[in-house]
Amino acid sequence: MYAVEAEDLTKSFGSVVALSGVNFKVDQREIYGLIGPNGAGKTTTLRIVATLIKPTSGTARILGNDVVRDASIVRGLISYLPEEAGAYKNISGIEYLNFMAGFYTKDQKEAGEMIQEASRISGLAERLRDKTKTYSKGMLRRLLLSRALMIRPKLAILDEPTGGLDVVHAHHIRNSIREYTKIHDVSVILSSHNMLEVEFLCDRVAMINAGKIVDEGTPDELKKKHGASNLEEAFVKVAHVA
Amino acid sequence: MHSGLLNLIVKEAKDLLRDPKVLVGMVLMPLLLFPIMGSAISISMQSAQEQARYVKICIMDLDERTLSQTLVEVLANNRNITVIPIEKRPLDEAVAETERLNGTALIILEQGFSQNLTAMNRGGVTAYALIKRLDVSESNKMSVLNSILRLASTAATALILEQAAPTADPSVVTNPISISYQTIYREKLVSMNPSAIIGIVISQGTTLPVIVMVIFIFAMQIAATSIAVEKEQRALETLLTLPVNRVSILGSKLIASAVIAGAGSVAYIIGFRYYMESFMTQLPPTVDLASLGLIPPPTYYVLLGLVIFIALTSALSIAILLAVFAEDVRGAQSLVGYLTIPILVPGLFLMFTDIATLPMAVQVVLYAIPFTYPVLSAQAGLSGDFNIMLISIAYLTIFTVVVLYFAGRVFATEKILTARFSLRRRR
Repeated sequence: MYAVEAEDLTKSFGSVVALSGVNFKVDQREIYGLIGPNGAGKTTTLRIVATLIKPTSGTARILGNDVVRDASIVRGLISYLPEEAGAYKNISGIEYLNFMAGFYTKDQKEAGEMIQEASRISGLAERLRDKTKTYSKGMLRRLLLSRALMIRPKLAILDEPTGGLDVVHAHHIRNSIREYTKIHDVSVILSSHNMLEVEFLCDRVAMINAGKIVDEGTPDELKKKHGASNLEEAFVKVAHVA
Repeated sequence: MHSGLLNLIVKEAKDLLRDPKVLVGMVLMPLLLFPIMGSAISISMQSAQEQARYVKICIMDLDERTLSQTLVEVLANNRNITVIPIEKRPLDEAVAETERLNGTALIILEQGFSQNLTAMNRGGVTAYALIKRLDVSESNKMSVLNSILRLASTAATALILEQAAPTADPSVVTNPISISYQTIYREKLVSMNPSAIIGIVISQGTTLPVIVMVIFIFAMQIAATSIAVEKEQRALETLLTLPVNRVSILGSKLIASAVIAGAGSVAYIIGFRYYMESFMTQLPPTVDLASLGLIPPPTYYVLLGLVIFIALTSALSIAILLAVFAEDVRGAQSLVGYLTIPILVPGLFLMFTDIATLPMAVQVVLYAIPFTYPVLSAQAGLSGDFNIMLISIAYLTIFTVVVLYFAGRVFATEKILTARFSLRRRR
């Protein structure tokens, strides 16, 4: 059974076609990347997988559960990190994590373990006691990533996980994703503009442009196939051909 | 899957109550505003009385005959006012002396004053008012001058009567009618001037709408900003992917907003009660406002609190719904800003008019607007009409249920994320 199985996904917003016949499969315990320019359809794909919006046609299944028909089951399996997301300014980091843990367990001990896990992933230590309005952008992103991973979801959906962060915070987040998914059997589907990041993190990559997947494979396969020294070069060649 | 409703409510309440804008605007403002207004009225009334006591009037006797001298003596010896006699001198010097003494006015008893009175003619008096500022306190001082001139007139009458009719009682001749005010209000008889009672009712009737309008507008902006911030920062997006019913997300927002609204209503009622009590201090102790229904019974406050609570809940629901469709926080605030029209219009109408006297079409529109009912209930309840309050509660409950139904439908679809409503002109 696949972690994600998308078949002929199409999504239109009025006259604008955001996705047109997208097909891909994500294996369990795999980190799968979507790369492409702004407006290519990455976020729309992730939003459909996260049950936020419904496809105009086609299907997407998470571990065999349809994202439309079985949306409530899917929401219990996934964890979604939107691009440039925020938290609640007037509550502390620890209160935010406790609030989020409350949706997955009623057991205080289990919730405590989740928060400990989040504390380790975020590396925020005592700063978790401060209100989130005092956090820097990097600290907030670390808090939100730790929230997404602490529940050990079957599938983590990460939209631009390091977007707009400095080198130190981006490095911390990339390492956390890599370590955590390997230890806890979590599948990941992520989008990114950062080709180096995708190359470092992803087992397989889909290149998406104008609402269609134009190529797919491991980073090495894609580089070799397009005679490129890195994914960025490969993507430019594919995008121009497409 | 856990319902998560309680979890959401706790988070919403924490986030809102820790927001200084909410705490100050919804709870502290009504708690402070009413007592401040009540105190301001009491203080200004007392201040006006105090000012009158310290007003100085100079008097110059150009006649210097027995009657004019006696009149100056009578005025100067009055304990309630300060009348300073000054020596006979040229007018400009007399005015200068009045200014030096910080006097408000100069009264001059003209030559021939006594002779005219003795001959049963009018005695000449000229009053020079020295206006320093154009404000209310100066106006109060001028009314003191008028009081003194009336007193002078009464004293002069007494002097004439002493000569013309030594046996007559001057106080009876100058004021021959004994007036006893008996006002019947709501089938109760009270020995009180009717204009005093009407004054209180008008004051209450115009204050209530203003305060209700301020609180509603503020609360709606808070709720709209809260949901718009959550949407703008994509925290709402995260919430919608959690294993929790979407109706619970809406429910938690409304319940938390209603809790804040409830706290606001309680603060409003406490503040308003304090404000009402401040009127007691301005009236003679013999007047029992409570017996006239002008200090309403506890039932009034309970019903009024309920009306405000339900109306505020529906207002917050509409604000949340509108904010969901806005592109950003500013857009949400602008959209909700348009709701100030249906809030302000009924309040303004009811401040100056009885709704029953308006044309039928206007009445229908006003009765359809839910925000008419808090003001209408408050005024009707003060007149002892609790039925209007009960009808208001029924109408507002139905209206709120309908709004909640539509809000629930919006939250259940992807429109909550994709719908955009912009007031800006499309290019």
